[in-house]
Amino acid sequence: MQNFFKRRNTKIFAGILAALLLGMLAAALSADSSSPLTRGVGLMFSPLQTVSTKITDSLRNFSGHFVSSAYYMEKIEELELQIEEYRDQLVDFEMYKRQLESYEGFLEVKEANEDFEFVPATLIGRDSADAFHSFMINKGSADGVSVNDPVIYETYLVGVVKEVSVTTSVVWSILDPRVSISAYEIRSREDGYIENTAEYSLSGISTFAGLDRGTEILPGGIVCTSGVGGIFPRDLIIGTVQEVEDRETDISAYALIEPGIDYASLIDVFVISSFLGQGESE
Amino acid sequence: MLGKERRKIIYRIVIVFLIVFASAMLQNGLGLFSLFFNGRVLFLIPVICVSGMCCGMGVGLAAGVFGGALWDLVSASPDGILALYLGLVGFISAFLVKNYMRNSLRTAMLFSFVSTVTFVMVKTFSYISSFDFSGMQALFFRFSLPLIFYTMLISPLIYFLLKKIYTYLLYLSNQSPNKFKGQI
Repeated sequence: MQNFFKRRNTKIFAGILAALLLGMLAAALSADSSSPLTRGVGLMFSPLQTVSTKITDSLRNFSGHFVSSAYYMEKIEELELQIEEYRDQLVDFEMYKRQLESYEGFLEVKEANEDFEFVPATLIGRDSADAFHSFMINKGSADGVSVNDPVIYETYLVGVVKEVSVTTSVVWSILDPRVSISAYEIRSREDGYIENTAEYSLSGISTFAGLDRGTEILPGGIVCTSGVGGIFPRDLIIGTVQEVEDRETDISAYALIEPGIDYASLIDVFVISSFLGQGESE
Repeated sequence: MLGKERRKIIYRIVIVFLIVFASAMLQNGLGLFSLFFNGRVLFLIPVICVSGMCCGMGVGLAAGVFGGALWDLVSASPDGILALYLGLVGFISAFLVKNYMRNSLRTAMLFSFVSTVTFVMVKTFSYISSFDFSGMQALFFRFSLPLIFYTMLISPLIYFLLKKIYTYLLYLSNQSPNKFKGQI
């Protein structure tokens, strides 16, 4: 036993133990609670610690490519399905938003004209051989549509129904030379009629004819239906005056009207199947 | 119970009708074929011409009436007039190819051109009571002429495509394509 304590190794071990205990005592008494040994070791080895941590992290990610690829593929598929679902919802949302906007316009018309009865319709075809934007809608006699029913988009007059079958109808646009509409300009209250010519209709312009040479209609004026004739109800907007010109063949004048709707992008319309005064000629 | 040969003929006729239906959708559907330079393409006319040339008088007539009826649905023209017109186009094309002319690209182009121009002229002059001369001039140069031009531009493509299809149909049913001057 005495030989054990006298051994050199024992003395070295005891010295190290005493140093550690002293370090701990010093750490306990010092402000930052760290012993000189810890501080020295930390100073020397903390950069290596940082490098070691970085290597460990990258190795963990690297191994993830081999070990967890099936998991990630499954996750990717799930997320792609979710994105597809959100995309579909977005498309539906845009469609409903567009419909809501058009219905808000129609609501304005309905509130102003409580006697109107509407049939909502959608364009399903256009005749390629027709230069004046006639089109087919998906409602017919079974839905209450009949010949000479006006067709509107919000407050704008689009055309008139000219052919009706059971489930579809053909509408002539207001640019068609065969369509004549009694109209008036809202500021000057001057009466006239829409009389289209091929030359202007091909450029998307309508002609408001039957005006006096000294007409007070100015560019920017708004032309509406006057309700005369019983086919179109009163106060549906036809278009805006672009120019006023004198006719060369007689003493009248006419105005060039730009319709308020773009036929190329028209999809949803409303057919006025019934209104007060329909079919009555004044 | 229908015989095997008769069934094959019925299948071929159904395919012809499907082709005519697809052409009608391409021509009159919304946004399927863009409007460019104020002109459009009348697919149905060359399709009916070629179908009549390749398939015989009966099928040509039936396909023409069917195509014209589909066109009548969207057209502002009097009902039935286009069915009658395209039925005649299909029948006459088949008759001329069977008896007097060859089934070739030149013949198809000639039939398409004559049919398209006739249709466009009649349609333009049908507005004669509404238009003045300058209006008809504007309609012809700004709408009808591009319509004829683009229809003729697409006609060779339609001819080669449909001839290939109809010849293949005949091959499938093991009949000689030259049996009736290239007609089913």
